[in-house]
Amino acid sequence: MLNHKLNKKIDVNANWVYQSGIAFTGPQGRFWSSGTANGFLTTFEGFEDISDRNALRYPAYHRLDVVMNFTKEKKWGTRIIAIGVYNAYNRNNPFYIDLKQNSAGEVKVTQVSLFPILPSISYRFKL
Amino acid sequence: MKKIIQYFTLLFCGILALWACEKEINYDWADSEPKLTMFGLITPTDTQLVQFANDSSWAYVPTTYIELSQSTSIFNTRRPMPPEGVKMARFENGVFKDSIREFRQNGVFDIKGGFRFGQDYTIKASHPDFKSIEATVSIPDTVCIESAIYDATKRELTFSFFDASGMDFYSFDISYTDGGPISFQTIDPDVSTFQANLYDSILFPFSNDFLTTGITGYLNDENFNGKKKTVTLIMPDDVSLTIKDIWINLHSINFDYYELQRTFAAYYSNKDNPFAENVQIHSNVKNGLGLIGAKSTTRKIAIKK
Repeated sequence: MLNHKLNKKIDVNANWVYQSGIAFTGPQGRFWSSGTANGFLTTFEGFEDISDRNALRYPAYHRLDVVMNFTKEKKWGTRIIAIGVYNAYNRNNPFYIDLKQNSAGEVKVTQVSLFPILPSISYRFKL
Repeated sequence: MKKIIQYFTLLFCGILALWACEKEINYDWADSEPKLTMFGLITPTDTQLVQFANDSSWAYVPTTYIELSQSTSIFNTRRPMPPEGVKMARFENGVFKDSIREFRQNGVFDIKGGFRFGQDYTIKASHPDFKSIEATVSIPDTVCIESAIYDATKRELTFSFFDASGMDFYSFDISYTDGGPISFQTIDPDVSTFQANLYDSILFPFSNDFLTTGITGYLNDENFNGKKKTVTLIMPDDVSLTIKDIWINLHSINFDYYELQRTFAAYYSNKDNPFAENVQIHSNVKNGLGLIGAKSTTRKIAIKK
């Protein structure tokens, strides 16, 4: 976290968040039964061989939030207008990752992310 | 106009905040080493399913097929060819019994009979490029069906059997003499059909918790260990049921085969849900994947009333 006062009226706050990836349990291989042996199912896509518990790990999570506060003294008190940006470098952090087959039939790792770069503005006052 | 701009801005901010981005990423997904896989369901030669011809010098000996293959990377969607040159052997109570030959060049090995009740069998397979695998299974004893009655007016089929002490597992299915399995319904809480409820959720329950439907029922003796168990099934409204003989096939199965069916259902229920933990399909193959199960069958025709 970094705070810097540019002058009496303006200050800047920057906050960098880092988390190592979340551990998860997921498929690590694929196997098939052709159905020749009695009593077993057969599938086109096979069955997934699941890893040991929490053996896999998501990519790391990190983002930078920056806020500029514009402070002004008024007759009735202080007003602060804050203009900021969440996830300043627009990183696609993993909400979850999954394996999906694309139209060419290839299995690819896909990631779903929430919250890209988000501007914000707020108004605060102190009496 | 000013209001429209305000609403539009709010809407834009809302969409931006809730925007979910899905994209392909370069991610070093840890694949496991290829393993040998083995599937087989052992049915002992001396079950009542063995059919003798009129000429007593001839007997039908059931064949047990063991299917051998290999696992692949998770990114491979095509079934691989079974590895060539696999050596397979059968052990009875830990003592070498025989080598098992490959039936065709497609990874299918066949064993003609030679399995006995109450004995432990180990199937071992080895190949120079893979870790050797093995699976051990005990052949369960058959359990006689004490009574089987079909009440045509109520469309209820009731059968009973005595459970031996110890942990036992069963499956059953119903069929005509000359036909395939018949579906049934039951409210018996001990019976499960292990159907995967793909669309089940708290908000939109798909399944009826009190009514089980299926063509194969599974039981464990947790609630009737060492006691008589009576199962009542509701049969479909089918004219054939009053004309043809109805067979009850009761199978004593081993724990691993029961667990395989249970985990199959759990696997399919969770498979496409990214928020649910993946379920590993049960395996009793050491250093590999797959399952060697055992099943002993008893059959009985239901008496109609």
